[in-house]
Amino acid sequence: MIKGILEVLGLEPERVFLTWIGASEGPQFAQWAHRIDQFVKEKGLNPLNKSSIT
Amino acid sequence: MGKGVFIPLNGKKVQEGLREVWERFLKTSLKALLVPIESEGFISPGLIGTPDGIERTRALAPYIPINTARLLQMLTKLEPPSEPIGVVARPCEIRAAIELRKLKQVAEKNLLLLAIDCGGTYPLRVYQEKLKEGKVEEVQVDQSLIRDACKVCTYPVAPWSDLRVCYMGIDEGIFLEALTEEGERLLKESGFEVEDREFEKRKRVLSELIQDKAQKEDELLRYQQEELKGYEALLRELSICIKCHNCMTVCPICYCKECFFNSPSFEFEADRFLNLLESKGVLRLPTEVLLFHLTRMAHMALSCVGCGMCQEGCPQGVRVFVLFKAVAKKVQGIFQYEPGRDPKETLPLTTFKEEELKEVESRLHVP
Repeated sequence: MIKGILEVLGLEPERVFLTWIGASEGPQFAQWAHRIDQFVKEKGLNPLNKSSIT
Repeated sequence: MGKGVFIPLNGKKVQEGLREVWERFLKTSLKALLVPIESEGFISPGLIGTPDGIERTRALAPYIPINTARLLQMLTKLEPPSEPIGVVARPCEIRAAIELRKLKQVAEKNLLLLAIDCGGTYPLRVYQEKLKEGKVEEVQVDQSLIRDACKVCTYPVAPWSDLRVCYMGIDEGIFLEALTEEGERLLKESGFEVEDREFEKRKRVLSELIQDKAQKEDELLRYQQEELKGYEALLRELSICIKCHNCMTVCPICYCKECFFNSPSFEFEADRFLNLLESKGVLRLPTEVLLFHLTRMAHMALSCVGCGMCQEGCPQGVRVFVLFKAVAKKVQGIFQYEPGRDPKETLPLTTFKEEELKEVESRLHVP
């Protein structure tokens, strides 16, 4: 739903991730952190960061 | 159509015919009616309890100051009424009431929903001008002057209610259509003979009207995609928002007693603003306008009936309705959900399905 809202408003829904990681799945958590980090590095900062309106 | 009662007008005006119906209900089976009334020269929903109040009813006034569903929530907050009340309201108000019932905010007991045909309503200023010309009630509403929300509304007739009060596309008469057992009982208790009736002209008139509105809805959605989309356009629109919370207050669906936005989560020390200032260079106040609207969308877009009261209540002229309409259309489409269509349809977010929406799950390894 959140992705749908962001898509209609043109606010880059791909910046939102949804996944399930069990409490015992440490390596998977690390993989996700790494993947999101990579994604943001490639994608660049969210333009909202620099906006005076929050 | 279906089961109901045809009431011939014999040359009378529709509003006069309606007053006779209200009178009959009040004399026989209803304790009170919640219906638009004239109060000190202006129109507002109001309760009438005795046939004396009938002359004050203005069910065809093309103006809506507040979504009646909000009033039903207020009326039945502690206890439902001990005797039956009839609620004469427009389709957007009835649909909102159905959503609020699903959210356990409006009682079912002793509350009969009577949905009246609606050709649209005027913005406050337009209606004030109409009143000066003496036009209090209208059967044919000027489609070029109605509110944005009404221009694109595909529900001139409520999809569900206890009783439908039909006058559009019916010659010289009113049809009271019973959709539930309660609605049928109301008619019978009021001494009406219930019969099956079809109105070919009404079918045609309504289908043409709905087709026309659906086309206008498409145009509005296209406009939003072209003009009100993306960081720049959205922030420009919200740059006039003063976060007064009016849109939230008048929204029939926003019902939380303790709103997140009125909670201590939004009380900050001055230094927090200074920290924010440091990362941004310039900080516009009040803050969190984008967060406010996005959160409201996430909370209520699935149940948004598109009544447009949010935009009507905005003192700044933010096109809140256009944004909400576009978002609501999208998320309601995801679940094939139409708010207020059927009280038996459950809210998608409270309904568990083991397999759904797999496409939004993020996966580490794309299979």
